[in-house]
Amino acid sequence: MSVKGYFLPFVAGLVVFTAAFLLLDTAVMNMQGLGLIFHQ
Amino acid sequence: MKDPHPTQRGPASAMIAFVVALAAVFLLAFGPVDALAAEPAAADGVAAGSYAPAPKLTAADYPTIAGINSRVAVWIFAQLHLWFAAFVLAVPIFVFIIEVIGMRTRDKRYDDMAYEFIKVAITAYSLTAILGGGLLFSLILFYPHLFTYLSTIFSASMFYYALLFFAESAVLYVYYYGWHWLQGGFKKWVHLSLGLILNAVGTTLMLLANAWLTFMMSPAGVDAAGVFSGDAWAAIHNFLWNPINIHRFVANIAYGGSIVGAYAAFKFLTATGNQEKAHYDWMGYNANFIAICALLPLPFAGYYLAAEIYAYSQQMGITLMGGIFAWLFIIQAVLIGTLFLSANYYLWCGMGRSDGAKRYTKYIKYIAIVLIGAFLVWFTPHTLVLTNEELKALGGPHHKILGPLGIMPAKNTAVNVMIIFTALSFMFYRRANKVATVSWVNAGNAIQVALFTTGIANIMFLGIYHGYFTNTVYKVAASIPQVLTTVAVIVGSITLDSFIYRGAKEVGPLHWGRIPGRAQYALFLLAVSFTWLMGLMGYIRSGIRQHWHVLDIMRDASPDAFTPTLGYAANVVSVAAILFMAMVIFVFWIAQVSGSKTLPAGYWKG
Amino acid sequence: MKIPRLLQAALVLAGVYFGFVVVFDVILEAVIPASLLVMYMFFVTAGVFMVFTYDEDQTRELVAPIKALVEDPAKRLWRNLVFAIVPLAVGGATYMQMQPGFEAPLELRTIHPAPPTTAKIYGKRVNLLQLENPFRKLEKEDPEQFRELVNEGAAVYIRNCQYCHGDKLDGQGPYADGLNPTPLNFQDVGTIAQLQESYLFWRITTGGPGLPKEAAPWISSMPVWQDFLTEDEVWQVILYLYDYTGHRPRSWEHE
Repeated sequence: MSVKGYFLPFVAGLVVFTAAFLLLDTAVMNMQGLGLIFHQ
Repeated sequence: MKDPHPTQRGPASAMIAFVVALAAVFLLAFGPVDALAAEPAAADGVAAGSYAPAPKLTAADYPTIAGINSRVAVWIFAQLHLWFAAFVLAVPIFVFIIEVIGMRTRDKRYDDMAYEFIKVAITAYSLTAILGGGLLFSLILFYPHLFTYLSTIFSASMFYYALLFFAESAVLYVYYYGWHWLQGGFKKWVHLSLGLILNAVGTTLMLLANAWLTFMMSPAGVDAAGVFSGDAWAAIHNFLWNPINIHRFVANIAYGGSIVGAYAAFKFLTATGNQEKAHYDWMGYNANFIAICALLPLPFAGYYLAAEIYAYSQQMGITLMGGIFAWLFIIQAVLIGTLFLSANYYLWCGMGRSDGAKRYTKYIKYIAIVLIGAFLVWFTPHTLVLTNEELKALGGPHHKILGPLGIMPAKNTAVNVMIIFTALSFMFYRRANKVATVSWVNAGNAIQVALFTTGIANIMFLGIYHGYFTNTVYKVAASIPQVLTTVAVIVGSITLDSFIYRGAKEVGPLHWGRIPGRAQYALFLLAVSFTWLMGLMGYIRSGIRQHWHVLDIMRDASPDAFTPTLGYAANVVSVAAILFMAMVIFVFWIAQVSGSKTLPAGYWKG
Repeated sequence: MKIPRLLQAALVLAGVYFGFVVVFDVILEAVIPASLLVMYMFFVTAGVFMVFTYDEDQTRELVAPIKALVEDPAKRLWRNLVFAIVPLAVGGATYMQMQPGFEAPLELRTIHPAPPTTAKIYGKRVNLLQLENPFRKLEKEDPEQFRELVNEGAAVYIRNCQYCHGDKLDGQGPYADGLNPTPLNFQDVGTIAQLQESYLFWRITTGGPGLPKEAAPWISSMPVWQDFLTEDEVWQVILYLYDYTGHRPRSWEHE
């Protein structure tokens, strides 16, 4: 079971998907007139 | 030996065809309705503006029949009609898709399965009509003024509704009875088109009927005294019409899948040979697949409906989920969790069909732990039932740990997790019989794990941060990206898997029929839970109107205009569900009996 | 030594049950209600059943001791013992359950009563669906005056409400311990943060007696504040509640 062939793609996936999901969240919240983080 | 039941291919094109069909449906739906809007009062010979206000009724305006409780009669007829109608509308949807798959793969087994499904639906169709007639009669007999009021406003749509049944019946009968005649080449395309038209007509019927009941909840096109403006489209296109349309459309598919799943389970348990068992095992798998596919987006359709009810009327919204009906929603939560657990259990039991399943079964207990954990959060009530001792120990009715689990952000988070993990169970099931041959399989798996991890983390972030550390507007708004995250994870992982398993080797032929009998009971549980759940939700949807026939416009003055106790309501739903089950068993039996022949020796002359 | 599957299942169940009890009752010091624990354990049992029976071989292993107990001629003594004791135990447990106790009956409390569409407040019929806080718009239009009104609301609150709802608006006022149901905690995200100002106006002005007939009897101690406060004072208090806790009132869309 090649660890290197697994670990790098895993980390890359984490980074890319985290960015993508945060983008999704921000976009959808913006569409509803809100930001991602709550401001009083 | 070649696997006699290959995996489905071509669902994408089936989906496209279906979307096109839906577009046709909406054109059909809006077509005649535009005609309705164009000719308001003139059509029924009444001068524009001369509609009467909603009548103010007294108890004397409600006729009774000795020995019959009017409200229960209408309730049970309506619910039975709805169950059958949901089934009869859903079956053509997935039969159409299965027929397309059969045509694409040229695998006759799909065509045979589609035919068997529609056969079950045919008997159900006449029961739907009978119950619809019963509903109509009881409405006219017991609530004549309400019916007069509604039928004045919806006169045109009700008439078209009745006419459309000619189309529905004609198309359904040719579609079913002509199944074996319209085979091959052009005839098959004709047959498929009939299926499309059947779906279009059926959906239109549902949209029309939905307009009448949503009008009762969120009236439009009438003023505060109930005087109709003459604009039928306004009355149809009321605030809750589309939320109900979406919810019912998706729910019907899930429900229809569960009923044919129960049929397949029943046939599996009574099968007399390995081939028959294998056939019905395959059918049950497909039915469960249909039910799960539609079940996954369903919580969001439901949430959308509830949110729109709340947006329309704070009173209905709070009664629905914060007031008296909130307790019924705990039952709903338990039933929905049961649906998820049954569907997952069926998948796990089904993994035994593959010889390669052992590689994935070790993960099942972890999926189970997450599913059960999420389920517990899902049904934890906001108001806990406490003994006086516990009340004293807690210092009040609020539990500082369990209380927060009782409001929607926790539940949205939990249900999104349940949906993702059900999709995961399904992914493992699909993978069980395959060995990937691409060189980058490790990297592919790593990316899959990353996708699931980040998706779940995002769902938890949206649920916990926006649910508890912001305000109500953010809290409700965050549920949308939560849903989209779930959709993204499911679509993303399926797409990725399709690449990882390109050209994959099969471990061996799937042993259709190699599944324990108790898995079939999971399919029964799916159908029964779904049925009871629909009955419960139907009661709630109607009950939140409380003492109104038409909300804020026409008051219900009948002696039965009270919110019954929760126990009583649950009993009525249970009785109706039992009646329905009896009728369904009759339907299954008829579908079977039509193929039996008795050769009576010496009975006939010659 | 391999633990028999049946014992494994039993240990898991026991572990989860005692886990709940230890975590909630002991560690977190917030008792888990028996009603909830029963439901939790029912579904944990269902889950354990699912995990232990999806595989045919494992199911055979699980059921083997039970089958042996029931079928194996060598286990006759155990069988007779179990068949004698189990019904007696079940009978005993049922008897204990059915025995009347001295506990007051449980009440299903509706935490969020549904507001009526209209209500008679201060002698006039008010439509709660359309009612708005007349001072809310000043938050943007005249912040100085808004501040003054909030302070006046604070004064009204301290003079009238803090005895039950607490000076920190957390439901921990000096009288709170003597009340059942306890006064609402406005800091909690599940109370005023989820509601519209018209709803608060209705609850404050009509108090306990104003609660709807469904899910009666209410034994709320909330006074009927329209008898003691002016309409303006009530709206000012509502401004203060939201201002102090940092929550925003729920806004609503109506087509």
